[in-house]
Amino acid sequence: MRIWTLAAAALLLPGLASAQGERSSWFGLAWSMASPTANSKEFTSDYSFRGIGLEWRQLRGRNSYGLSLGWNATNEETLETSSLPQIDLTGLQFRYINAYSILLAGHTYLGTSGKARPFLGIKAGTYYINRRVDVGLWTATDNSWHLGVAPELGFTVPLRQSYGSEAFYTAVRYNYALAAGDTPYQSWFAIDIGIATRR
Amino acid sequence: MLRNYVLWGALVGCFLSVAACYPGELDTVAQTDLVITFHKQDADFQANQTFAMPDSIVDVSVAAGADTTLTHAYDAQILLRVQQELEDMGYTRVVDTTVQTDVIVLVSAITVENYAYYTPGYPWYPYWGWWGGWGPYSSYGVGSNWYYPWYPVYTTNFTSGSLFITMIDPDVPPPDTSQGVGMAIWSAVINGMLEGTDPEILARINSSLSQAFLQSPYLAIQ
Repeated sequence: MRIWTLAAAALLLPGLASAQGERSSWFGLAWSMASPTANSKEFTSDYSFRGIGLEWRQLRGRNSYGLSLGWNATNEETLETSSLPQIDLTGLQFRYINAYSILLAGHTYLGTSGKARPFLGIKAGTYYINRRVDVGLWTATDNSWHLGVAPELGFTVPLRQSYGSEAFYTAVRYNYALAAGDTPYQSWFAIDIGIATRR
Repeated sequence: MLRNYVLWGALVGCFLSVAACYPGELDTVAQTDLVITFHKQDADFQANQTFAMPDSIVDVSVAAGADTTLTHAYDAQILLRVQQELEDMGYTRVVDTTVQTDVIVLVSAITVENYAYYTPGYPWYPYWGWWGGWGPYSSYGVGSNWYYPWYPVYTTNFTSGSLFITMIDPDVPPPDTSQGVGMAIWSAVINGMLEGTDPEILARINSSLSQAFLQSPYLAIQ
């Protein structure tokens, strides 16, 4: 926990320090897909095409800091027998994870302005995760808040001519939400494809 | 500038469309079928060889003094299926009610329409209310108290049905002996939406009955 916090702070600091110079704002809207891993994959293993990302960045030179809001939904449909002590249950299960994130972000950019630019980033903050199982006529849910981090890499491609202030961007982000209460840690890769505008 | 707004508007529309698509909804009523089995910890199923079973399915609603929509048209088929499954696991049915068997198997059912059912109490309590019992035990057999042998059950908004199979071992005393003798050592609940023709529903019940015994291999005594 402490290691994760220190790592996130160390990676966010360059972006925060960059805020002291000339500023320009960057706003992005992305279609966010998800591929669950580890505990999340045990619950819902299917690749998900449902998700949205909203992001604001304050740019300065090669660095930026900002705020990221996200939603990823994964699901799985499975017919199986689940066993608990003294209880066995068979039915078609519809399982869902809805993960909402509110993260601070720091990024650093490679390459030159006006061309496709790779970037590296780290995000840290909180996740609200809803896990739900529908089986038969019944529903079981749990909701939990998690602290977490999300390193990411991606690149931006500026649009041309009259869309000179817009850019396509894509990013791959590994989300790691620490365990909270009875909910084990959750993790998934998010793949974002979006468009951004710079003012 | 106008083109920018058009572009952003189109993108927001696309993203919201993706977000609005929520998969995994039910396609058929059979997908609502659920089979749950419970067994008492440390129950010695191998010590049992014979069972008794009433010739009718008890309507829980009637037993509770409520209205019912339950049909008994398929009682015989359902009970025969339960008997066959138990015999396949090595048990022998005894029909003479004056002979004490190792266990009693009780089958009951309920249909529910906008009806929430709640039962408090100990989760492994026996369900004795309608059973006359054998001669030596008949004085304990009929009582005013009966329970689902598990925690509260809720249903709402549609017609659903549940079939309950409860295996009671009279040699296992309940926590409160004033409630009768014996205690449930195994129970099965078959729950689902009651839609479709009667033969379709019966086929689903039979399939679920088989599943209940399939997922309870510890019942086998042979």
